[in-house]
Amino acid sequence: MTTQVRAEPYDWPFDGAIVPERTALVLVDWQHDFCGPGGYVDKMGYDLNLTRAGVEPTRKVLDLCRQIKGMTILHTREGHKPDLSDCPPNKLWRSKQIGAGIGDMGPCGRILVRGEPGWEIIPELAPLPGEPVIDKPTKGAFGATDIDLVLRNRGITHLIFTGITTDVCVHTIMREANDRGYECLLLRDCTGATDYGNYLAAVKIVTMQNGVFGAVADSPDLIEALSSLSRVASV
Amino acid sequence: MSTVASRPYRWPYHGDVKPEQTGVLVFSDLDGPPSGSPALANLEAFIERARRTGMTVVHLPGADSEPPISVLPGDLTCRRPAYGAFTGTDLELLLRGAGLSDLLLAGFPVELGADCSMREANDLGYECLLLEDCCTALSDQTLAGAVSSVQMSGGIFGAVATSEEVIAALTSSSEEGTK
Repeated sequence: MTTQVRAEPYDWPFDGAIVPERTALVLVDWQHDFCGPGGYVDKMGYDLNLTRAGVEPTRKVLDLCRQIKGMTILHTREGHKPDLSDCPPNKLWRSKQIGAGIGDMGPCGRILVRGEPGWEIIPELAPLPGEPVIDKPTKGAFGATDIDLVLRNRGITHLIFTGITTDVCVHTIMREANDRGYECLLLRDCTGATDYGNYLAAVKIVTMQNGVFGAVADSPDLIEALSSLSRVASV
Repeated sequence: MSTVASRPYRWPYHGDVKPEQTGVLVFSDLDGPPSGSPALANLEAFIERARRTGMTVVHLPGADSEPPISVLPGDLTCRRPAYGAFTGTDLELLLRGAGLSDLLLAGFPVELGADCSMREANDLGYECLLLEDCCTALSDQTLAGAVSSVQMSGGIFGAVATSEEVIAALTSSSEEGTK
C-alpha cells in the first residue's frame, strides 16, 4: 500500500507515506473578502473568477479529508482587530491609496476586520466545530499567531495547502512552514491569485531547486493517494 | 522631503527617505551572484553611494553562502539558518538596535532569502523596497512573478525600484539639504 502523492518535483511526502495523524489540510484565507462580490479583492478591481477557481476542487478534497481518521483540518483567516491596533501603518496607508481602506465600510461590512461579513470564510469551505481556525493580522501565519503551537500539540509535521491567494498568503505561509521544517505540499488546482501570471510563477518556484519550498500536486492525485486510508468509523 | 519614483507607490509611504533609518539588506543563497553579474555591479555602485548618505548595510548570507560584497566596519551581519531572515535569528533585535525601519532589499537570487524575508519584514510593519536591478534570479518567470507580486493590491509587500531611482531620490534630498 502506498500513500504517496504523485507530485513535482518529487512524490510527496519525501519520507514515504501520508500519516493522517501527522498531516493537516490547510485552508488559507477562503474568505469572502478575497473571493466574494463586494469584498476587499473585488473592491480593488481584480477578477474574482481567478481567486474562486480553486473553490470546487478544494471542497472535494475537504470532504474526503474530513472522513479520514486522524487528519486535521486547519483554517486560517486574515483580519484585524476592530480598533486596527494590529494593523501596521504602512499596510493601512497602502489599502487606502488603492481605494479599499482596511477598516472602511464596504458592501460586506468593514474591510478586513474580524467579525464582519466580508471576513467570514465562504459557506462552501466553512470550518466545522472542532477544526482549528487561526486568526492572523498578517499575510504569513507564523509571525503573530499560535499556529506553531497548535500544530506541535497535535504532532503535525506535514501540511497540504489550499487557499488564496497563491502568491501572497499561501506562499508566505508555505515558506514560513518550510523554514520551520514542515513538509509541505501545494495543491495546484486548489489555489488562485489576483494575477494569473503570478499564480503560475508562484507554483513554479516551489518546484525549483528540487523542491525549495516543498512539492506541487493536482488534487485528483491526492484524492487517489488518500483513497487507501481508513475512514472515520461513523461514515 | 524626498521619495523614490518606485512602483506601485512613491516609497517610503511616510513621505521621506531617511538614510539614518534605512537598511540595505543583501541576501545570498546557494552560490550567490556569478562573478561579473551586472546585478552585483549595480549593487556595489549603489552601496558605495548608500554608505556615504549614512544608510546601514546588513549582510544576510544563507547557511552555505558568503556575503557577495565586502563587509566593512559598521555593517551588520546576520547569518540565516532558514530562507526567512527573521526565523531563528536576532535580526529584529539588530534592526531595532540600529533604528532601522525602512529596508532596501537585494537578493542573489531574489526568490529565496530576499523574497521570504521581504514577506516577513512587511508583516512586521517594516517599510520595504525591492531593488530590482540588484537581484539575480533562478528563472525569468519567477523573477517577473516575484517583482509583480510585490506590487499587487497597492504594494502588498512594499514597493519596487531600480537602484538609480533610489539614488535620484537621495540626490534630490541632499541638494535640498544644502540650500
